[in-house]
Amino acid sequence: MIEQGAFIAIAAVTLIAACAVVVARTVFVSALWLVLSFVGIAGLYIMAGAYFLGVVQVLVYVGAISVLILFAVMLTRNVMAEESPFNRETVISFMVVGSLFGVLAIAGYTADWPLTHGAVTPANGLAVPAGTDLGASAALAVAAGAMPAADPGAATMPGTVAMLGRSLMSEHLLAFEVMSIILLVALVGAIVIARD
Amino acid sequence: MTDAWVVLQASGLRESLAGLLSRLPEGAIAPTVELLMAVLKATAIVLVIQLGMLYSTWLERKFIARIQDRVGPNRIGLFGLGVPFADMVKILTKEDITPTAAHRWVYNLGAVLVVPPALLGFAVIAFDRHLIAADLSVGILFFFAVASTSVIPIFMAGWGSRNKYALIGAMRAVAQIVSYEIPQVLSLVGVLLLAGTLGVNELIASQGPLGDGGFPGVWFVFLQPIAFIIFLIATSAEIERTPFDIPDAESEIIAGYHTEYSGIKFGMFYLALYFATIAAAAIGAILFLGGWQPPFAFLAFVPGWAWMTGKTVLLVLVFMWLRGTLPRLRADQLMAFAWKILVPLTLVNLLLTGLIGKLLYAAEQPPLVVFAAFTVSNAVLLGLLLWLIAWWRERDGAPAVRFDAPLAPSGRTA
Repeated sequence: MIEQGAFIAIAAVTLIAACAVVVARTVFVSALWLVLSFVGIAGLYIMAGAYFLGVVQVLVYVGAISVLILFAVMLTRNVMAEESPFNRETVISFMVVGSLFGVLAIAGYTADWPLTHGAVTPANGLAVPAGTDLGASAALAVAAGAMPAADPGAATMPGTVAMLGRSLMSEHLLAFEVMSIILLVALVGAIVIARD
Repeated sequence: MTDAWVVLQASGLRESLAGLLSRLPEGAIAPTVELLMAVLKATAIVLVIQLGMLYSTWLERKFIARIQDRVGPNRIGLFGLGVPFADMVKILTKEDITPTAAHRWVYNLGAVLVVPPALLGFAVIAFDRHLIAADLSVGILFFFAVASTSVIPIFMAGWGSRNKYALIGAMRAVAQIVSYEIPQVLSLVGVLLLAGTLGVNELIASQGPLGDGGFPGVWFVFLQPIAFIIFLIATSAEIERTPFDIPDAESEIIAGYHTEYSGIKFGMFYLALYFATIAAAAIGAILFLGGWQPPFAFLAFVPGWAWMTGKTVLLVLVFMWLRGTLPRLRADQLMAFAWKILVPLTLVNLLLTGLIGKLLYAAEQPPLVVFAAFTVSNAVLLGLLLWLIAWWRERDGAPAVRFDAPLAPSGRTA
């Protein structure tokens, strides 16, 4: 009961904030709504038992990416302006965004989400009994890599961090290393461009 | 008031709450009790930390007064102990002004939201083995994640005020906080690597005589002294204390992002500053000074919360001591210091710690060998630090001015 209510509240906050990003008249205020939306998504991860992912969401998206967005807004526009210019090509924008949303929704609906077995718990003793249907939110967390499907024999897991690390360093090693290289290249590229 | 007493009281409280709620349906009792316990824990934290904040303002004024050979506040109550309360009454009764040009919502929300990032971190701080609100498996990460959100209310305050000094202050604050977050977090990755956990209590347990018998059995400050110093430097930048109070450098930009705030809204920024200072000292005590662990087993009769409080106050005093001693850095020096000195140093420390941890500790070498290896690695780091500073001064530093020589009109020595 409580969990369902909390889920609905958090999901509502996330969606309303996301709508407000588009509706707000000032770019700076839009960016602030986006921050609230990020916080809501972190809340959804935590509700799904993906504590590590929830915390990292706050650390990366709220603490870093939104700051980057705010900085970009402040450095590239007339910061003190009350109103920001709007994109008038609403139909094209709607088509692009709508088709992207459609593809994601279909992919999310048709994909096979392996559910974790056993308890996904933090160390604070809020145990989730094995076999509990964690529902769509757990599937979301699995999709995002927070809870790689465990072997069915495992009754309990110490936490998701060690599991995530092990899975990154074993079955997803190639993807992990490739991503590291891409990030490094981007970093070096940014420095090279900034020096010119 | 020992640890066992805390556990006893908590279970007693749970029982009496369940008794009070016995008219609820069977399945609803346990979750409601847990919810009420969470509310109680949150209230206790807010009240205790609030009192701690009030008296750290008193302590800071007294301590800095002593450093500067003054007496400090001494009028209300014994040793001026009533001054914080008088200050609170003053700040609550001052006129609340909203500038006409300000963006009303963003301006007011900025003052409200500045406190939670500083306060939320206390949820994972263990004052004793069982005196912790939420012992999350990702506790340390949680602390730094919520602390990193503090830049958003600062941005809101700076932008919402519609004041150029506020905006410049906010830009400086954000640049500084984002830059120093990197050495701050990197400096403690070495500790986390050795402890092998992100949980607060597990981390403390590995650091002393009352622990789980795991490695290292001593405070991490002895294995990672350079990392500890980097952590202290980066943290005082993170919480914007002198010598890193460039965002509200009063001689340059009035008061930075909180220039336009008055009354209790200004009080909120003040509150957040001291909350953040106490939180940073507490997490430093947990990561490097062993939290509630005594240094030796025979000192275990002193309860854990006393150790934790003592260590936290000690680190708070270090931050105040820095404020009383050092002049403020220049904005460009600040950035260069983070990126050219602290970040390379923490990366080398991470590499060396990883090597020692893997090659010596994981291979179960005798403790003496491990400690010797850490001594060597820290000596290497110290050498690197001195070399980096010399290189930086040579490359970017201002030309040295000798004060005994007469100054030429250009300001340089003749």
